[in-house]
Amino acid sequence: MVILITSDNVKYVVEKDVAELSVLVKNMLEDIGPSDEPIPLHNVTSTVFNKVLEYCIYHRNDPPPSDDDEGCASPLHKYLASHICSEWDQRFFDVDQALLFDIILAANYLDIKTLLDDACKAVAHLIQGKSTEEIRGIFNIVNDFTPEEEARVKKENVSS
Amino acid sequence: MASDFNPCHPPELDSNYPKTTLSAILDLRFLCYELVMSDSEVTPFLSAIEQLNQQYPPPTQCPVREYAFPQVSTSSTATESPPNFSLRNVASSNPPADIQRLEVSSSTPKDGKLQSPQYYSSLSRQFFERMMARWNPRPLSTVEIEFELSETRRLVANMEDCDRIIQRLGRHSDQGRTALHQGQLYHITYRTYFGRIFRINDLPLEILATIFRLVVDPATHSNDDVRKRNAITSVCRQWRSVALNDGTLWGVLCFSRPAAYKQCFEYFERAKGFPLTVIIMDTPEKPLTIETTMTLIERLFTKLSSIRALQVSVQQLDSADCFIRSLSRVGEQRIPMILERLEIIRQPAAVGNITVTASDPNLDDQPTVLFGGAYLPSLRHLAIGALRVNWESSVLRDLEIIDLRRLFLGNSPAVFRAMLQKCSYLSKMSLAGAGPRTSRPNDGPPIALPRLDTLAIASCTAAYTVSILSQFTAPNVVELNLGRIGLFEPRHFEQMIGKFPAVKSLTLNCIPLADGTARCPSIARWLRTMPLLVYLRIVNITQHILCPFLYDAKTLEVRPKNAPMDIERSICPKLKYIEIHYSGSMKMPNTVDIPHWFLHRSSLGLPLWKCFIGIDTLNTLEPDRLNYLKEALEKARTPLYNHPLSIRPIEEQRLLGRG
Repeated sequence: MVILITSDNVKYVVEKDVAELSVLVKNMLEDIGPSDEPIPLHNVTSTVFNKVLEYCIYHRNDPPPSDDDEGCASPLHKYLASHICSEWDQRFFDVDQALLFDIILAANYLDIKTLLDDACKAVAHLIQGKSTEEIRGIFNIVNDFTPEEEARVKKENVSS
Repeated sequence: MASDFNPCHPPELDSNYPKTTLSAILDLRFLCYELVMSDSEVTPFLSAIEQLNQQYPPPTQCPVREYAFPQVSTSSTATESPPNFSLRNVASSNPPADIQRLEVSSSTPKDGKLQSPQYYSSLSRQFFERMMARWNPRPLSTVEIEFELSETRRLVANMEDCDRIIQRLGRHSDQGRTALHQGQLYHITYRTYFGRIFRINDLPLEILATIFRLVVDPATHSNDDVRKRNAITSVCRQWRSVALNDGTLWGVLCFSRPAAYKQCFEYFERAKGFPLTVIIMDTPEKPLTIETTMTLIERLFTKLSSIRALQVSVQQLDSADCFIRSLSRVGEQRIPMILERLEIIRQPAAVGNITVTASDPNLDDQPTVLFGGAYLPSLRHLAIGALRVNWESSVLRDLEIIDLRRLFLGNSPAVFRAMLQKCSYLSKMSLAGAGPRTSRPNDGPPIALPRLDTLAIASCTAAYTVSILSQFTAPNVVELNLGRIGLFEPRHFEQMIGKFPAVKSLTLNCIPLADGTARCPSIARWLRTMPLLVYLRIVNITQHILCPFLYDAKTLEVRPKNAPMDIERSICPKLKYIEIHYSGSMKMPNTVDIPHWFLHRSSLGLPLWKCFIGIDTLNTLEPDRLNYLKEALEKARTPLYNHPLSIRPIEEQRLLGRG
């Protein structure tokens, strides 16, 4: 068992295989060796960690994603193509905006690749198949191009 | 306003619904059955909701947490609304931040029951378009953000309520189906408005880039992908900057027409040093000239080390040859490579009537050594069509896919065998008019290819095909495709007996049978050794090839009708799907053989589940024969589906684990 403490001082006793889905925690455990010392998670609150833990417990037996060829798009897509989002995963990300934002940051901080990819996928689905105007509408993004810049971008797109 | 729904007297609610679901049902967006409400109707409607909300307060399991709102300057912020953002305030506030949410689709079913996925998809689109029509992006006030957040939390709670009902009462109960329907509606609303206050531009830039990579498949370059890339780079400065700086998004270059070259080279620059997939193709009307080919090569090969896939399909021999010769610099200059896939095809690489025999002349006598003789450890997929290659001096190992068309693979089987021996991981092999210049059936023991799961041989004589097959064993082939093979005689089928025991999908395309072959038991003997066959595709084949499927596997004679057989005595007992195509000069037979075949097979207790026939094929039948076929299929309880040859049915894809 591994003891983890969130930034709001909530203590979690977590099975090692679950905790080690986080590369950050895994590396810390390797660094400190066998010890009962609690591991502090400075950037994660208990509210967010509850969700992260729920995900890790559900996915504890999944095969690890391939991380070879880091930086290339193809392996990521190979993984994503093979990783079929289950109904559970889809439901898992039906949360409010603040919580999804915090889950993404927590997954990034804890270095849980599958959680980060799945959470990003939930956001990507909102963009998928949408036009520029629609994307701006969905995310309430104000067009900050100058008229000259916008004309240049449009011309570039027309030429393609 | 014409409506049979009175908001002041909501429909009676099922007593099984929890109280929290009451507020869910009273969701403004779906309570209204009509799209537009007049002012005089809105007031009593909102009063009724307020009253019911007091009676059944919204769920409290989602306490509002601290949320770091994006900072917006006071000057650009919309007028602050009253802090207590109740429903009534929304309706009367100015500006009407979300009054448009009162509008719901008029197509919401009045019985509130589960609808088809297409219905929800259409509803989602309509709902989204209405939201878009009324919304111009602008900085939101703190109160507006609070409201959006609380709305999302309420929707999430409502969706959870629906899930609980479904779990408790089941998906198929009336209440379960109603809850599924309600859940779908809440989810549509949730998705439509979710992004409005999601702080996407506050995410770390590398995460934003990851999201873009999920939207735009970096491995493809269809028109749709180009449109997606353009959409993302046009949203705002931040998105443009992130997208342009992420080289992985620009790694697929498709030089399909000269007008696209400029854009491709723009992508080429944006890709920086990231891996590239380069696709070059032309058309018979506008073939790639040698000058343009040279220009392309000189520019693209400045990043030769970064090319992960090079797929060239051109009309002119000179152009295709130029690519293959230019790759010699890999060995000459010892260039490090990451190339995984090389395809250089001179079109037309596989044409209808060309067949190769062991005595055909080669295309040229000055072949090129691939990569200047260098070994590329990364190379897994090799496809060469109608080109001059010195196979003897080329170093090819560890390939997983080999696709060769219209060429000789060395002067003797030794080269072919050596290549196979060095490719023990080979999973797919396609030889279309390709193979050793001379072939003998006994050139040593067959090479074992245990991982080969897909094999296609086409445009060869039957004797040549059989001699090729004698060079290797492939007991795990699940997909076998024999096409445009010369006249097949009984001995050819005999020579293939037992070679493919694992085949699940068999395609026989343009295989003429010698006189008397169909009546000979050789075909049945061959089919008998493929007991796992589930999918059969026949293209331009005489209907007599179907007859052996009616044989008794023991006696090798046609089993009489209505005499069901044991599985052990059946030919291909697992056969469930058949796909039939006739094209060109070959018409679908107007005889009763094919309809009778379905009836006969069914009477043996071996009915087929589905029959796929292309519309072009069906059109070749006279009306009375078409009706006869349909009646026979109906009697055999085999549904008929119109399916083109160019697309593989999902049943076959699933069978082969590719669905």
